[in-house]
Amino acid sequence: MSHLNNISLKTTWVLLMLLVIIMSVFALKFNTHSNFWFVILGLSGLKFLLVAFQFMEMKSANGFWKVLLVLYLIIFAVIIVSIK
Amino acid sequence: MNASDTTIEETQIIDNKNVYYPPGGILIWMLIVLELLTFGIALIVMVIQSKSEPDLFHEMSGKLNTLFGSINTIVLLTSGFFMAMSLHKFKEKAFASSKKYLMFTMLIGSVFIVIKSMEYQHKFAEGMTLGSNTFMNYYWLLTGFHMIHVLVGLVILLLMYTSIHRNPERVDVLDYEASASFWHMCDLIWLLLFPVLYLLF
Repeated sequence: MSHLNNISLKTTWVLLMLLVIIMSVFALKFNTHSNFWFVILGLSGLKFLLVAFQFMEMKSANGFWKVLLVLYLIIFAVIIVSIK
Repeated sequence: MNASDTTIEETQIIDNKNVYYPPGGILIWMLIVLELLTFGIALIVMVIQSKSEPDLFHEMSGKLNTLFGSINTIVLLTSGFFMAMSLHKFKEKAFASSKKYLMFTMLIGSVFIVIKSMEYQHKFAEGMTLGSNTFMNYYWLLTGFHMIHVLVGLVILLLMYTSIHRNPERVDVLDYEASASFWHMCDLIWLLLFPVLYLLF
């Protein structure tokens, strides 16, 4: 997560917009691809972390909160993918 | 310096590395964790239920407007960016800039409500209402609860705006951080809802 610590709010916003566009294009063009769910959940997870660590400043929080957020995402994604 | 001034000064130097003091305070983060768990569990139950009606979920999900959903993602994230900028400026004591960014946050946040209302109107017109089928029940409940959070967030931000407008020096940075965290929580929940409801089935 250290790379998330050094990017500015404006850069974060640009990254988020790029991720939304990439996800939209992927959803339109490759929705029958076998790795579709992994990519969609991966991109959504990345956006989730950018918002939490940069906008919500969790990059400066105690490690407990960082681990909690990342674990939550991983468990959520694993359960969704394993059910699907 | 009176007692309340002392309180404000003390909250400016909170160490966020302390496990009990995440940005915004531990109470707002307990709320955020509980909200994320609630929405996360609801989405997992929805995906489990989709296994018994896969065709219905595929058909109904396909009828949702992905363009509206994507635009709303951009709208919420942009609003979140302005919120973060406003808090950043507030901490620098650039109150005029902070107020300006907060105004942008609320205006763009209101656009989310407008777009979502348009989407709801289309769904009503197509007869895809609460009770139509299992998928639409989840759709209405999950997005409806999320929209209530956005509305509550807007009210909180409006109150903060009024406080900053009246006397920014009297606004506790921890209160402002907590309000901002609530607003960002709406982004986080939407980032879970959008892919599952609109794309995965």
